[in-house]
Amino acid sequence: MRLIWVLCVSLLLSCGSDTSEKSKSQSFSTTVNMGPFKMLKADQYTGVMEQFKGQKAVVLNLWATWCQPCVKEFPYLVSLRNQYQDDVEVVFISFDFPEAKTDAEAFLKKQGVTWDTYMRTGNDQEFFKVLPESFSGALPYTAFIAKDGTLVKEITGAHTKEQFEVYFRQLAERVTP
Amino acid sequence: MKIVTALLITVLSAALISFTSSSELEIGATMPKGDVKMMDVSGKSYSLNDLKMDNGLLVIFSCNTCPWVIKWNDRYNPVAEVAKKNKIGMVLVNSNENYRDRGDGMDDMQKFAEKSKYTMKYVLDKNHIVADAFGAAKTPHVFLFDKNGKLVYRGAIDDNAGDKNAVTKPWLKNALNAIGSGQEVSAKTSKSIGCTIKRTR
Repeated sequence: MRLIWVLCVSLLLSCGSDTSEKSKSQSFSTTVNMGPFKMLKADQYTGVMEQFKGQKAVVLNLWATWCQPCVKEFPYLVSLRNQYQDDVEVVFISFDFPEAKTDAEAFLKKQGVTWDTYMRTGNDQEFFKVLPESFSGALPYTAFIAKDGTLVKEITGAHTKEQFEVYFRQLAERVTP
Repeated sequence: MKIVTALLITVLSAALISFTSSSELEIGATMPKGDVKMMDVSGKSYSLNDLKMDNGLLVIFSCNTCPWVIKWNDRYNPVAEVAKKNKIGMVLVNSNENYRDRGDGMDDMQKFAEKSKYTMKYVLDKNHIVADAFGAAKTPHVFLFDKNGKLVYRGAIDDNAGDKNAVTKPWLKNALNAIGSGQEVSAKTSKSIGCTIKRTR
């Protein structure tokens, strides 16, 4: 029993500690390669998310080029996705205005996003029906979803790479009961 | 070993949930921080209680720097007219403490209010005290209180930021007219995309 508590306390403490020591230093990529940038309707959202169920955990990030905190944290998510890609996929959905599609595409290219990424199209109200209920509409928004589809954490506003990595690591190491 | 694993999952889940940020004020809640004085662009200071009128108070968390505020800005003055007609006070609250040197300082607010020809008060929420008490998450974020100071509507202005002529759900105007005529608000909450409030912590 004592061992259990020691283990629990150690893990809890690790949630709030500086994890940079364990982070692999990855420089910001400026590759010109880019994955498909797809327009996403609200009724297609569930299908996109379901494809990873049972295969990988998912980090969902809602962002836009007009959103400064989104732009700031974006490279951290790209870097962590590349580090944890065997266990965790990052699904970026741009909430840019339609007229800014080219800007969003250029940004993704600069960031080196080499996998499928999305831009929402259609009525935002339809998206509120399918996105996690507690999403207030404030960007940036990031949800951490376990391999079994369970929503385990949501955060709003910009975060550091170290803060993100705590959750990436927990998703990657999460044991399905 | 199974017990250890189950315990670890439980404890970790609790730890993750505990990091969740504060939630928005619930419908029916009493208006918080009603006595906090905030500086208006006119140079005078007002509290929410000072600005409340016979039938209530409309509080919109806003700013100068969010593209979604810019998109909805052409509806602020018409909304103020509807509020006034219904004897409801209205105030815009700028809680972007972390952007005071990046477009959301008092000087910037004064210029923005002048350019926008605002007909309502536009106050600076120092250290986002009021935003924190409301659980305000973004700009614009609407909170409407009735004559008893109870929250009766929370969310968006309407369902089309980009085009006022294409609005199909004027949620806020409907709510203002409802409480102005002593009726219950039918759509009590709504959502829209917006910019996070730029807090310092």
